[in-house]
Amino acid sequence: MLHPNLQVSKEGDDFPVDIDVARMSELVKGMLDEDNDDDEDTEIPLPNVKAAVLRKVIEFCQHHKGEPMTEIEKPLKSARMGEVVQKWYADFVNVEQVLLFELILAANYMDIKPLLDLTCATVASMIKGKTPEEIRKNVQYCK
Amino acid sequence: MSSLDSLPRSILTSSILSYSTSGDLLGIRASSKALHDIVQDEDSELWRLALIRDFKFQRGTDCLQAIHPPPININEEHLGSPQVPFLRTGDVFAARSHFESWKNWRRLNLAYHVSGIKVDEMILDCDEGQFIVGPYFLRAASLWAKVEHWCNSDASGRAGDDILSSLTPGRAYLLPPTDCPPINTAAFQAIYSFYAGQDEGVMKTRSALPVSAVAMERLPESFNPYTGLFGGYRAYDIVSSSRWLEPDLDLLSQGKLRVSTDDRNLITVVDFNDISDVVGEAGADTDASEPGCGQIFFVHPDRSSGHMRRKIATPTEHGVKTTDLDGGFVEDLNDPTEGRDSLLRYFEEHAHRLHAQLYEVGDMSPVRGREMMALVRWPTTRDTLKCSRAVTRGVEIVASAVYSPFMYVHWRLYFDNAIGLTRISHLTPKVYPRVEEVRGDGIIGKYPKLFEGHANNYEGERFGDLQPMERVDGQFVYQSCTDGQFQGKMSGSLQFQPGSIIDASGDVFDAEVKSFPLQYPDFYY
Repeated sequence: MLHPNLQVSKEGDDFPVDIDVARMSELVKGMLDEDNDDDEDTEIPLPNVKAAVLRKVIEFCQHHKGEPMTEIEKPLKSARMGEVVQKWYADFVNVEQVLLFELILAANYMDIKPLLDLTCATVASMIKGKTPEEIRKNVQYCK
Repeated sequence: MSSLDSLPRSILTSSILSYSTSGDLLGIRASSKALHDIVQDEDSELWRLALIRDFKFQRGTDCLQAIHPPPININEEHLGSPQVPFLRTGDVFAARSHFESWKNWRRLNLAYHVSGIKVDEMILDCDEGQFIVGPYFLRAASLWAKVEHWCNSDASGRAGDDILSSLTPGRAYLLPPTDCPPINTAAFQAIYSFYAGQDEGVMKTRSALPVSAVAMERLPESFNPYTGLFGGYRAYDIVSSSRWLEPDLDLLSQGKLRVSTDDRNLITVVDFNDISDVVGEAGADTDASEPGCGQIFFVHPDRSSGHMRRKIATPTEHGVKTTDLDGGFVEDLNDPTEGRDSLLRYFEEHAHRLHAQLYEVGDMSPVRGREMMALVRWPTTRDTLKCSRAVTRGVEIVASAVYSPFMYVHWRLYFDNAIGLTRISHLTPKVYPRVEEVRGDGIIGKYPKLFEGHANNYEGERFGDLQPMERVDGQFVYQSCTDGQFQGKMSGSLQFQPGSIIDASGDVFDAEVKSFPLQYPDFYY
């Protein structure tokens, strides 16, 4: 069934998504299951997620339906995500650190395991093989 | 905010860092105060996982047990036996945090791989594939502690002291590069870190052991070739003595292992190389065709599977011939290491038997009047599975069997002679499950098999010099053997004549021999 559902972000923007894509989020799935109204377009409020981030999350979920992400081995075999996961996904996380961290928080909040795994593995890849000095400079902006 | 410590801690520790190696963890720990504190706080999560990942600790078990690592020993010379063992059983301790435990295992791992290497070959850190298996080392420490305890106890007496002093110091064996996965030799490495075999002792003599009283008198008081760690037993003039030999490093590195045999002794050798390259040197008057003479029994981890194989190597005129033996090891199919700890279980079983005093020490001397105390592998009455005991009219008969590699099951009946009875050897054993009943007269002799109506008056070396009518006090042993076909139980009775045959003081009676097992053992020493 392909009822479009609306996911509403923090700023109030609407993002229509197919129900099976939306259900990749355990949080959304839970909300939909509670609300037994299948016929109408359901609005899912997501006040914790910014529009730009939600857009990326939906992009991930939509792609995942067609090409499921491979399991990322622990510990990471390589510091290059391209060697660890499919190309599309490696490119997907090739973003600024700020956005990456927001994606982590969104994946955690919305409970989307593959996205959480991918984003966390990416952070781990940024740490891998680095000296403490490099870690402090590149990944940790605090004292 | 986009710093690591701004993320929820659970995400950092459970998700992000689950993709990191221990090396990365150390880097994070050192990068900033905030991250240092997080890593420190999450000790049981992060460093416990590191112990599980790096040193193969099992989930849900205590990972705080560690071993104090020896100082990293960089030698100019890298051959020769050390004077000091690599590890001691007393080095095991309980760490206060998982991080402390991990640090000690890491140092031990490094010391293991660095010891004995020349300065210019020194490595600074180990690859992931080179990590030692922590739990194996802990198990080895535990089993050796039991062995030491037994050797030092009163129960083991002189034999225990001799065995302990014959053990050579353990060392860090760096095995030659092979296609054998390191996990298959991990148990070997753990065991041999504490002790590395027994010294040759009197095994240096290659001539037949003297068995006559006259020859014995010429030997020093302390002469005792039967101080094998795995003990042995006597069957008349044949002695089974299992000594744990030190691997010869020179030959080891060439993929060969030399053993020397002593006549009429079985030697246990633990070997991890391909024993088709065994070079054997038999005693001068070894008769290779006679069972029990000059043969070498090996315990040998299979390189590809890590499972234990037992083999016999027989010196022949064409070189050394090796044969596989079946059975004798319990393989635990539920073992997560898939049986690769079978060498450990072999040693653990023996250490358990010593500790539980399932064996006793006794005199293995082939002649009377000259004591040679050794670990005797006949099960004692404490081993209720393998040993039976029955008392009839004051006669206690203790019965048990041992299995020899030549497919005989030696059994013996052991009873006190001090109450003025003469034994008539009417033995009516029943062997189950074939329910074979044999009656016979005078069945004392050299490996008599039990056949109906068979008689043999040969009494064996020990009492060969008895005078007629001479009484011998003490415990009397009657032994025989069956071939490997008899698997099951034996029971029966022995007939006794109070007084003597000539001067009877009472009626003949039958004393019970309670059922005892005749079977292939779970562990074969």
